[in-house]
Amino acid sequence: MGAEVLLYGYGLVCISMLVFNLLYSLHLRAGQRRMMRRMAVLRRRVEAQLRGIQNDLTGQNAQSIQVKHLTWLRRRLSRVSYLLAFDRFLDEQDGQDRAFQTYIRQIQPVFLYLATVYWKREDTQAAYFCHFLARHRLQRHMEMDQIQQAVLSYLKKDSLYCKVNALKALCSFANPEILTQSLLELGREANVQLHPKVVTEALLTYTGDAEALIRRILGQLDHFSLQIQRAVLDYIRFRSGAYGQPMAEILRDPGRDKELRFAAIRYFGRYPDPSVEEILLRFVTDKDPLRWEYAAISASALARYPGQEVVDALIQAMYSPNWYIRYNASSSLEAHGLSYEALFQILSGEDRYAREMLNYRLETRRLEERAAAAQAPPRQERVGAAV
Amino acid sequence: MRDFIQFFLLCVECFFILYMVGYSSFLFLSVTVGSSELYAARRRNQLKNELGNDYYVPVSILVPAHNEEVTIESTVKSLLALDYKLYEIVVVDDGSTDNTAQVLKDAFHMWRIDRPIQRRVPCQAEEEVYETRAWKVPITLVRKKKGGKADALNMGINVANYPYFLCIDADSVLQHDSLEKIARPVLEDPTVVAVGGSVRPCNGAEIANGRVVRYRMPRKLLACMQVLEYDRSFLASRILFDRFNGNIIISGAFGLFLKSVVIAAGGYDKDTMGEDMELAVKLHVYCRESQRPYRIRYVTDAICWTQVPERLRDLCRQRKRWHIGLFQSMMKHRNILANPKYGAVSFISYFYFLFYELFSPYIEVFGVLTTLLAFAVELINVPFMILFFGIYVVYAAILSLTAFFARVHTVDLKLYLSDILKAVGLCVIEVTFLRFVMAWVRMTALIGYRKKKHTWGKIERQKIQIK
Repeated sequence: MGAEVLLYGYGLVCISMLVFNLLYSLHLRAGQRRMMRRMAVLRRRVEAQLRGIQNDLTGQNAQSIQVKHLTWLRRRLSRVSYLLAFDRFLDEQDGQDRAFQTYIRQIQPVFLYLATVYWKREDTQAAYFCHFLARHRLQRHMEMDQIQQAVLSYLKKDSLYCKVNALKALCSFANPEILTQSLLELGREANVQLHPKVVTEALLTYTGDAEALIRRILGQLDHFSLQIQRAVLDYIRFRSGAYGQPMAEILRDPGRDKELRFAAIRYFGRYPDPSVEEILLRFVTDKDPLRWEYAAISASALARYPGQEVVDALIQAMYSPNWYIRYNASSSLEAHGLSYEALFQILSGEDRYAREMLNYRLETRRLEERAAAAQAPPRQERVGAAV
Repeated sequence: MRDFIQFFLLCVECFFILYMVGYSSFLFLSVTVGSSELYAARRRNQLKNELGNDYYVPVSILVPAHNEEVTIESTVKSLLALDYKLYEIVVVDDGSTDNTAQVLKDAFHMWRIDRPIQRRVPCQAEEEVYETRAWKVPITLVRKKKGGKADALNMGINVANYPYFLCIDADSVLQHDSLEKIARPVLEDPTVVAVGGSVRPCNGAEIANGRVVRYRMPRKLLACMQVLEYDRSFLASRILFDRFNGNIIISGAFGLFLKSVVIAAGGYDKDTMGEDMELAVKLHVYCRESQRPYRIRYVTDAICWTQVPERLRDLCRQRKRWHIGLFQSMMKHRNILANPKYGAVSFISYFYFLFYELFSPYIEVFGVLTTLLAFAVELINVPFMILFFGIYVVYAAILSLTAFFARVHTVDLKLYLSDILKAVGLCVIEVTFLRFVMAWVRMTALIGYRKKKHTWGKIERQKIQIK
């Protein structure tokens, strides 16, 4: 009989879940209506305050936001459902309206209070609060210097999303000092490490002076974790070509992690610098199979470096047993304006792999030319029409 | 003699009670954990706890095809409609005898090209390679000698340009955001080596631009019952396995892999019919043996729509293949069983698949035979047997319905009254009828299975309703 009782127990829990799911389904169906109701409440209250501010701006019955309203807003926005409604309500507003901008500035203490409230909440809500700050700082140009330190503490939470959203919020605040601190904080974490791509993309949303930020983070580079260093170097590559010297130091330093040196090679592929040409040539002609990645990336980077010496090195790379080195070298030779037919003459009969790769690159280019010549309709349209 | 039979039946009874309790507990846990995880995932989605659209991991989509002239064009078109920037499409035509290659060449204006292919995993030689650059992303078609699905996928790996590859079936359609969603765990955790996506039956669905505009339960009852089955599997048990990094199946219809690790592990096994399961198990083995930190993830919101068989004969054929594949994978990696080095993968995942999937048809048939024996020697309490069977049916039906109703937590699936009625009616038939038919099919699957090596499953294809 014990097994039956167990099954009854399990069945009962499942029936409870079934009922929960059904009720949840009904709750979801009513979700949109609830959201509209909350937005209507917020609209009514905020518009009353906006009228007061408008009068203030036009000199009639000077009035600023009522303390009562701030208290009400604090209480309501402490509930995430109202914060969601407020998020949507802000989207509807005209950010250029002076009264609205004044209103947003005057409710800053509410956000400072909410920063402490949501820090104590579960991670999903904390992450949403950071997302809210990042969005509306960007769109509404709110000044929120006071809560930057508070947001910095959100990086200590375990949730990946909380870290990412907090980093985005800090990027939107555009304070290089705080952002450098946040990168140090992210590097300190032993467990959850953000993917360098995620950090780079977040940094690219930085709205302040990028040069000031780069100068500051380069000064602290060695204090960051390896992942953050990679992300930072990629960010610099996307943002500016004015950092050849520190990049060259990284490139020349054999003690540096290879990923950082690869990032430096890519940087010099984007921003050619004659002073590093020699080291790139050394990498591309290196026959050591353990160092093939240096050769492959350098082969790609040398596409923008003129000169016969570079062409000779790339032709040499075409004989490499490594597929990637040959592929990148053939692409770079193409960028040097050498016709594949001429290269065929050079390589004729010497190396089957090199010939095959050149042939493939030649045919690929013909395909691209054919696609362009066919004057195909815009690609998106073709896809849209087809599916 | 009677005493011996009585003792034998007592042992069988104890075994079955333990077996049932184990199975019920697993199903219960998977449904409760799955349902609560789906609820949490929806909440995360609502509160923007997700990485945005700006992060792109380069992915090569591999489409192995054999005699897929009916569906291949719509499949590739659906891939071109994905909301993703950095990917390529590689179709491997594995010795088709129909017009699969011609359909592709005509539809996408492909040109023959001499492409050097680096053989990093073994596969049959290529016959022709075609490419086009006239579309949103590069499309490559490789025609090769027939070598089976695993061989075609290995060719795809060799041709792939990007560090991650995604394999899908040629009769499947990806939802517009599925590539972005399946790649997300890679960004969230750098140790992720493979990600399985959610596979759902598209019979009954209407898809436009990779978006499901209308999804109802299929008209055919057999397909409806498979919807319940898929819900139980993808909206429940895989989520549970994911909790402890124990997924040993990544569906061949939709899975993302880190190419370098798959190559290091030796690629797909050409001698196994269930190449998808074999690869997932192999990745566990490779990463554990080489002491590489790794995660194999499963994501519920990355969705691939696939056709499920609507005829019993096709379904039986498909399930036979799956069972043979399961048998081959389990046998090949039998050293995992009760091996502490593999932790939960050994003691939960492998154990579950061995006893509740591989052996289950034999155990079920053995149960029926012992029931007949007990009946013959009058050692059975018939009313109790009927009661117990009734409890089992009701319990299994409730679990199926719980998994079915868990779809309220997914963003794209809605509940309709007619679908609810269908689900309620069919969950009982699925447990009492289809399950036993499938048990018989799976039990007989291994007879003469060696002859079926390197064959593709043949299921009657229909054009997917893509607008």
